[in-house]
Amino acid sequence: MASDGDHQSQATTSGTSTTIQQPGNGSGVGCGETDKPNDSIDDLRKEIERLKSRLEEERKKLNDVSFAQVAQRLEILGSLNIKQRRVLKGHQGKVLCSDWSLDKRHIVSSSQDGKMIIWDAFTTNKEHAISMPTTWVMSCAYAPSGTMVACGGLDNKITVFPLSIEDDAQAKKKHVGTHTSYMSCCLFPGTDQQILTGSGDSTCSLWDVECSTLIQNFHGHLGDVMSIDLSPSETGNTFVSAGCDRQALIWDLRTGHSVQSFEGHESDINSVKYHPSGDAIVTGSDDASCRLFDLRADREVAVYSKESILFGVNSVDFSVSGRILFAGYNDYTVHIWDALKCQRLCILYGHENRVTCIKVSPDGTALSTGSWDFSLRVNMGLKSFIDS
Amino acid sequence: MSQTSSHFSALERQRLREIEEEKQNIKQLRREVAIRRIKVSKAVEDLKKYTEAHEQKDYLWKGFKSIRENPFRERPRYDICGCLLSMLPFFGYNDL
Repeated sequence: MASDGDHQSQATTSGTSTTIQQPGNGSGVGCGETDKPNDSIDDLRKEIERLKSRLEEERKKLNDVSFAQVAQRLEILGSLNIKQRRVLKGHQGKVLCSDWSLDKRHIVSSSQDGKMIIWDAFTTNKEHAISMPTTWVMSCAYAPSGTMVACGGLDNKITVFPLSIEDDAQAKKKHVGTHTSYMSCCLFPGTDQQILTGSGDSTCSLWDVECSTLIQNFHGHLGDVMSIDLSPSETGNTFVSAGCDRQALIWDLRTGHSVQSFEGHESDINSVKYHPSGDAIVTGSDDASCRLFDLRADREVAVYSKESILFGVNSVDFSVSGRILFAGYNDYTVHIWDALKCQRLCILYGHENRVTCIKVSPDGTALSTGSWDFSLRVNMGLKSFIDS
Repeated sequence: MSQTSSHFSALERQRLREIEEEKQNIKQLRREVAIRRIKVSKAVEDLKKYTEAHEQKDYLWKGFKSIRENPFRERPRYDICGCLLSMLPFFGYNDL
């Protein structure tokens, strides 16, 4: 059966490659050719179907055990004791995005009111407030050096602001690039020199900050890109993007090719995040579920959902060990999942509207949540020593 | 160039574009089929091992073992003394 399939594949391979070359040759325009592309497009589509089922088969072959079986032997975690420590108030619109500085103390957040605020999460002071020309600043990011922030949204632009105590970040703003639709997400890929963005124009782009030039474009999504995340592995040359076409794509930063794709959600994916090991990704979707895809097994390995959960997921993040999954929902709550046992451990209440952004701080000590209720909250774990 | 393209009707051009797209899709799928995979059991086992190796640092799960580990130690907000105290660890006074 398998060898049969291989034969067939070789036959179609050579078949398609010859037919494809004809339009490529271009100069031999001849009208007689018009029929051939017609034939070959059917061939091509058949080939695509065949490859898709083959891919499915390959993925099934190694599905030797269910995630739950492996996790069965693990201890059951009790309810986590996570307590709200700070409330950051000051936005006059829905908070849409936030990011931690690597100093584990500062947070940048952006809002529907067109403002970006840099917070000292220790003291809850606002250190900078930056106004954007448009409302709906959908994305913001802290540069690794902590001396710069980037943001963008309905203005389709990615703009950076250097931060200094002498103030007026506004005056030193710089446009780095422009998409043909809204910019939904951005991040600095481990350096201040580059920015990676995702957009409603269904592409992702890598930009050079200094020269304001496009380094690489990433085509492949069939709908708006809603979320991106950089691989935490040391080689760090891959990232993941996901969006309204319900698929998550893994990209090679250098070549611009997508290397893996994952499907399974029944609605838009709003958020995607790497497992801290770099070997898996988790997605949160409007279909009220989160899913875990393992990159090396090349398939979905777990689903985090419950019949009682009806609302969409806007944001997901892992604790530093990868055991705990935090997910922010449209029903104003944050659900905390045991990522290995696929059980919900507890629910965080507090926000008075949709929870839009969830970020674990770089050292894993704190969890920040942002919401349409105009506020951000900082939560911390609380156990053992402090309790006693 | 413009001459050659005028030979094609809009329909034909679109067909060529579609062929080009499908060709790219096939290339993409071939790449995806060809990648190396491991068994799910091994993949999940590795995720589990990673978790076990890093659980002591997972403060949101395990909590803080000593009060010093908590950068947000609880104290009345807007308490200036408290704020100063919170800075002490930065200056080396770790045991307060």
